[in-house]
This record gives sequence, structure tokens and C-alpha cells, in this order.
Amino acid sequence: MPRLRASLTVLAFLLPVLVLSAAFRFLPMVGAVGLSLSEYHPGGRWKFVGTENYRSLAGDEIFLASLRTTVTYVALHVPLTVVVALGSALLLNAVPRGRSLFRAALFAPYATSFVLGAVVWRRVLEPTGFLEQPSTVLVALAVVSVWKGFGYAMLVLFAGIRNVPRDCLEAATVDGASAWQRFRHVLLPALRPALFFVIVVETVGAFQVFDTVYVMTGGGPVRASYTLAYAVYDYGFRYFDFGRAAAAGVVLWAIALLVSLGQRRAFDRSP
Amino acid sequence: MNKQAALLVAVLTAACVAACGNDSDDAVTLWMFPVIADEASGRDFWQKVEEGFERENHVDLRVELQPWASRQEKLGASLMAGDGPDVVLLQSDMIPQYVDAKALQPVDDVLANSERAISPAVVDALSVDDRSYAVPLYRTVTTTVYNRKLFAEAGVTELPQTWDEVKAAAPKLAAHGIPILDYSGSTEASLNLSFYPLLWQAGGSVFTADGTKSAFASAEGVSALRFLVDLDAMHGLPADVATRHSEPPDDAVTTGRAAMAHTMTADGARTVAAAIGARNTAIGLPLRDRTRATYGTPAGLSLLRDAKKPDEARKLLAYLMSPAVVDELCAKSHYFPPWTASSPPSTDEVDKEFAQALPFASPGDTHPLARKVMGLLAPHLQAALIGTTTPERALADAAAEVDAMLRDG
Amino acid sequence: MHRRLWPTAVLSLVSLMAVGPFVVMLLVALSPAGAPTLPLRLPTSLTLDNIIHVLSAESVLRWTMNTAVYSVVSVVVVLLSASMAAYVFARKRFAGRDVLLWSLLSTMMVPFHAVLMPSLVVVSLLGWSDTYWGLIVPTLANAQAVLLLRQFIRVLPDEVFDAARIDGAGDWRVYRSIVLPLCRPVLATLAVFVFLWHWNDFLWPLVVARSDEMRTLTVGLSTVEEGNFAIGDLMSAATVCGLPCLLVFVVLQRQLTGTIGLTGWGR
Repeated sequence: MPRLRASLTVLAFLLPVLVLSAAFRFLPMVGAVGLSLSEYHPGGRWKFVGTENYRSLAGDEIFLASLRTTVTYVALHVPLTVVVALGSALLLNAVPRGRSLFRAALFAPYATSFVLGAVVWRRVLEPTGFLEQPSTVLVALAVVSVWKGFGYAMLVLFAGIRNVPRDCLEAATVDGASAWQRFRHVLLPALRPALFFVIVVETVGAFQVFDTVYVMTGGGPVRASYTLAYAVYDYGFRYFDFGRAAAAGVVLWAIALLVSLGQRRAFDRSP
Repeated sequence: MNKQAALLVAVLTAACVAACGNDSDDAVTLWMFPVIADEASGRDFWQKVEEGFERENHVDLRVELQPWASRQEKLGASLMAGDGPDVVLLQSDMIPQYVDAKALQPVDDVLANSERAISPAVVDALSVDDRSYAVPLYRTVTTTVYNRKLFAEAGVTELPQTWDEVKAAAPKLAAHGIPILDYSGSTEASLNLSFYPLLWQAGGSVFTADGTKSAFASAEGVSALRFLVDLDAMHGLPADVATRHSEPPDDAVTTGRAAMAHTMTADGARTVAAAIGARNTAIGLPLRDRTRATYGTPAGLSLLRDAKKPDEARKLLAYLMSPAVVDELCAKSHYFPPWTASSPPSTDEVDKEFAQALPFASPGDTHPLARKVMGLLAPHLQAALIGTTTPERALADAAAEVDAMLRDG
Repeated sequence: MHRRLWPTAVLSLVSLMAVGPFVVMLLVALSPAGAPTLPLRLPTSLTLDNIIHVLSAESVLRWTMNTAVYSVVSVVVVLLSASMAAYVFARKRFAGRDVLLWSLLSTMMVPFHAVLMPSLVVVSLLGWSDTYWGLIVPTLANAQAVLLLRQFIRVLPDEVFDAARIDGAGDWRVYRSIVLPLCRPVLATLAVFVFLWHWNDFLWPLVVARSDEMRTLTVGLSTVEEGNFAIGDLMSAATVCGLPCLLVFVVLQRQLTGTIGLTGWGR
């Protein structure tokens, strides 16, 4: 019976998350897939149209451009976030005094409602013209979103750093390792699980970037910041074409999943 | 173990009971937006409406005040979930889309019984294919608002009223580091408030008369876009014009960083006056090039096709469109009543000035694909503004995309 | 001396950049209507008028209570359910474990606007429209939390678990007496984030709530901030929303600095 008992225990521990996810994450996703195979406008009637939405998207130059834009944005946002968050976490670990104050200050942007930070940021960026030029707008948006979100990654990495056994670091110091060597050969490997989490979560989040774009540039100029998630919103809530919006959402989901699985292969080798 | 289990069951049961309460399915529901700026005053008004209607008709009424923000998402989600209201406030540019989706019921019968004559322009704006889909509640007007002080400081004595005058005054203001016109180029900003009024002032229009093709790539359209591009070259527009979405209270005139705006609402004008001083604020007629034109949209109450209580809802529509209710709503919200003989909603100075702009206000071409057209056109306007293309090319490219889209539906 | 100063110096700089816009926001909230505002001119006088005006909306208390319930209940349930699942994903082997984990994670990869409407349909089918249940329960499935905790439980030393096993502890005991205490810093971090996500959430509470009594603070305040208002009001609303979050963070600060040295876990 121990086998059965063990299985039941596993099930019991998983049950809350499984039930909640099944009902409120999977089911709506199935609904979205269903929507993507239909033609639906709010208040109207459903009409099953098969893969027509997907075919239409494949031929939609605006949609394809939004794919490229999103990938570029992710490539900007994720490394920047990791560097800033890791740097801040290391600094936070290294300061002798005032850690609480610094941590609160660094975390403040995350805690505030974005719309209002955006108002201020727009004002700050206005004279620079970075939001105006298609060539620089994604960089500007990446900077603003890193400012807003790095607190999350920083706290996770900080917790990870604090987890590193003191003895290992001490032993390395006694062995004559420099700060850089300690970082590279002791800290970084120990941080791998936390780093993996940060990279995956920031990547997925960057693929879904909407609020930043909506508030700061509305997808412009000339669609230079028209990301996939923005396209989902546009097709759905501006043009009322929910079938197409859902299809775009499914495409976004598929890409994010593929990239995450690739990252898993690189960073998260299971025991 | 037993005690804990019993407690858990008790809590869950209580919770279920608590959660399942709350069904007043007998009421007619109306979704309203905060058209009355003062929260307390607004609550009082709608409470009075509820009581008045319930007394007269012996039907329960529930008025639910929704925020303006994300209202498309909320209405769309509720309609899909079968959870929508019976009656909802819609602006005229939203109606064609909903009619196209067959989400609304026609309300000609209610309109026919109106106690007072409604302006034909309003009726027209709220109709699709000669059937009315909303009972008019108010109309908005936008017009030009100036910061007198900035003009005076730059040595401009006469506030500009035509395009030529604006272009003449722009360099003087630019010399003081002030762009003359606050303009929003973001795709999130409705073209009805930015480019289209200029297009109309040049004598052009967005669609051809039959609505099957675009008409903005005309000489008039080019002239309007060139006006903007020329202004921008003289530093007459804000530096971030292409992605800018100016909304009070963060717009450039309120914050003293532009000298005028060409399509401001009365509320916006009040915000400006509060910020820079009433003495420094001037409200003028809409700008003129070949003609004087500005944007002004009626809004009305629409009956949803999936309304749970359609008969009572029609009674509600009749009640709400009565002059007693409409006039008080307009007085409190400072919007204009939809009657033919229109007077300012109140004796407020700002309202009186805006009333002068009323004859020039138009809701523009209502077309089910109007918003899609805006989405296709706006990026091209941005391209012209940032200089990657000429006005002619920008409009021509946009027209090609729009015509293709209109053809394919 | 020099070596110990530079982390503080750099961190101060970074902190200033992080906090700058927030300070501006606070200043604007406190400046009287019409005073010069953003971004570089300091208001000449500060008042609480704007904040009072925002807070005097009739239902503010109710909205705040709704938001508090929304946030606190979510924190408790997410922390419990996610840590339970994470324990199993981190320390147990069973068929389909990784497939299940990644299926769960994939649910956070679909953009919200695409599932917004289907989610409301599910809530409506359950009869939970306009109730606490409909507001809270759908947001309790947090795959990110599961992943975060799984990463941290994974690095807990095997010796700890082996010792517990030898002592005859069952899974529930191990979970309660070993995993939870050792994960306290991560749990505290997660608590802050989950609280924040829920406190600042706008779109979901907007879509679920029909009546004014069910609105959260973010949604309720947006019905008040209409029409003729100064930027002070907007900023005040933001301040009102943002301060509780910062407070929660400050309160939980001490929990965030836990350390697990090999020599420390027995405490």
C-alpha cells in the first residue's frame, strides 16, 4: 500500500493548484482557442470558421511585424533586467548598512501604479525624442519597463544570494579566490535556480508586454512599438474582431512556450 | 481531525451561502458613465432618476456607474458572458460597430414619441441605415481653447483663428520655446479629435459619400497634413507629437506647455482655467481654413439585443429621454441637450462660449469600420510627422491600405 | 575604507533613480490645484486637499475593504497552495511530473486580453458574477508562484529531508516543519508580490464587479477621477493606492532577509 499512499499524498498536495488551474486557467484557454477558430463580435453570434483567422494572420504584414517587434523587445528587456536586478541584489548584499532603506527604495517603482509613473516618464523622455523615433522607441520602453519591474527580480535574486551557504564562500576566500572568481564559480552556479526563474518569468512577461506600450506610445510611432500583446488588444477591443484577437493570443502563447522550453533545456537540468 | 473537518465544512457552507446571495434579477439595468463630473452630484442625480422611474413605472431600476477606462473590455466581456445590461450609454462613433455585430435593437418607436423635437443631425448620427439605435441624451462640442498669457508674452496680440494666422504666430511662440498647438499623434488618440477636424476644415472628408472608399488622400487631406508638418518644422507642435496622447489634466495647455488646442471639451477648458487662471484662458470658435469645423458627438442610450427586460427597458428609454431628465443631466454635466432649439445647458460662462461652436460641430462619418480606418491611417500620419515620408505619400499609402480593407470588409 | 564605500555609493545612485519619479508623484499629490507641477518645478506650497478630495468619495471605505480582502485572501491561498505543489514538484518523482509542471507554467504565457472574456464566462457560469468568489478565486491559480517556490525548495540540502525521514516524519510534517520555515524569505517575497499584483489589479476587478459595493479601490477611484480634475487628484489616487503596498513591504522586510547556512537550518 505505500505506493498508493505515496501517490495519494502527491495528489493531495497538488490538488488545490490543479483544480484552480484547471477551472480558471485551462478552461479559459480552451475557450480562447475556441474563439480563435470562430468569428465573433461582442453581442453577436458565434460562427465557426476553422483556421481562417490563423491564415489571415499569416498574411497580415502588420501582425508579422508585431512578431519581430516583440522579439526585439524581449531581447532588450530580459538581459537588461537580469543585469540590473543581479547587480542591485549583489550591491544590496554588499552594503554594510542601510539595507532596508535601499531595498525599499529600489522596490518602490514596482509598488506604484504604472499609469502614473508613465506620465512622469513621458515628461522626462519628451525632450530627448527617444519615444519619437522608431529606431529608439523600443529601447526607451525597455528602460522604462525595467525601471518598473526590476524590483521583483532583484528580490528573488537577493533571496537566492542569501541562500548561498556561507561556508562555501568562506572556503573560497581562504583558498585565495578573488571577488570575481568567487562570483563566477561559487555564487553564480548557486544562483542558477533563481536565475532560471527570473529569466523565464521576465521572458514570458516581456512577450506579453502591453501596459507599457499602451500608456507610453500607443504602439507607435508608425507601429515601431506595436507588440503582439498590443495586437491582441487592438484586434479584440478596438476592432471587435475577437476571433482574430484570440488567434493572435494563441500564437503568442505558442511562441512564449517554445522559448521557455528552450531556456529550460539550457538552464534547468532536472535531477 | 474531526473538529477541523467540521469547521472546514461549516466555513465553506457559510461562504457558499454568502456568495450566492445578491440576485436582484427583477431590475432593469442601465450602464451609465461618469458624465457628471462631481461624484456626489452625480450619485444624487441617478438616485433621483431611479426613484422617479420606479415610482412612475413600478419597475425596479438599477443604474450602474462604470468608469470610462476600459469600457470596451467590460462591455465586451459582459456581453460574451451573457451578463450585460439592458441599456447602455454609447457614443455615436461606437454605434455602427455594435449594429454591425447585431448587438443592438432599433429604438425608432421610442424616438417617435419624443416630447420635444430632436435635432436631425443628432438623430442621423445615432442611426445606421435609417434606423435609430440610440435614444439621444446629450451632445458634446469641442472647440479651440487658448492660453492668452502665452500669446501675450510672445507678442501676439490677436488670437489666431485661421490656419494662416496659426502659422504666422507659431514662430513667435517657438522663439519663447512654446509650441503653439497641442496635438496628439498617438494611435490611442482618436483621430476625431486630432486630424479629422483639420481635414474637415480644409474641406475634405474621410470617406466617399457612399462609404465604400477612402477620401482623405485628396488635395484637402494633403493640405491638412501639410499644415501639421509645416507647423512641426517651425517647432509649433510638441516635441513628442507622434506618440503623444494628450488628455486633461496632463495636456500641454493645462500644464502651460502649449499655447492652444483645437478640439477641447468644456471640461477640458475648465481644467485649463483652473490650472492657468480663468483670465488667461480664452475660448474661441473652431479654427477655419476653407471652412469652420470641429468635432462634436451625440451620445445616447442603446437597447441591447440580449436585454433581459426589453419592454421595461423601452419604458426606461422613454423616461430618460424626457426633457425633464435630459435638461437636468445636461445642466449638471455641462453637455448640450439634443433638441433642435439648442441653448447652452447652463448659464456658466464656459458653456455659453461652447454653445457658439455648436453649429460647426459634426460627429464625422459614422461607418462600422471607422475605427479600423483610424488604426490604419494614424501610423501613416505619424510617419509624415516624424519626417520619414511626405504628406502625399503618407496619405496615398494609407488610402491604399484602407481601400483594400474596405473592399475585403 | 574605500572598498566598503563604493557599494553604498553606487546603490545610493541607483536608489535615487528608482525613487525619483515616485517622489515627484508624491509632490504633485500634495501640491494645491493649479500649482506648477511636473516635472522640475517644485510646488511652492503643499496641501492635503487633493488626497482628501479623492478619499471623500462615498464608497472609498468599502472599496478599500474589498481590495484588502482580495489581496490578503489571495496571499494566504496562493502561498499555501503553491508551496504544497512546489514541494511535490521539487522533491518527489512521479510519472509526468515535468510535463504537468510545464503545462501549469504554460498557463501564464497566454496574454490576458485573450482569456479575459472566456474567464468571465466561466465565472458567470458558476454564478459568481459580482461576488467575492468570482473576484478572488480565479486569480488564485498562480503558476509563477509554484515555479518560484520549486526553485528554492530544490536547493534545500538533502540532509535535512533525510534526517526528517529517519525520524519517521510524513510528508505533511516535512512540509510544515521543514519546508515552510526554511522557505520563509521566499514566501515573504512572494507574499509581497501577490499582494501587490492584487492590490493594483484593475482590469479583472473591473470586469467582474457589477455593483459599486463589489469594486476594488483601483476601479472605484477611476469612477471618481473623471471630468474636471487636476493632475493632483490622479496622483493622489496613485499615492493612496501605492502607500499600502509600500507599507506591507516594509512590514515584511525582516522576513525577507533570512539566511540558510548549512549551519543554520536546525534553529
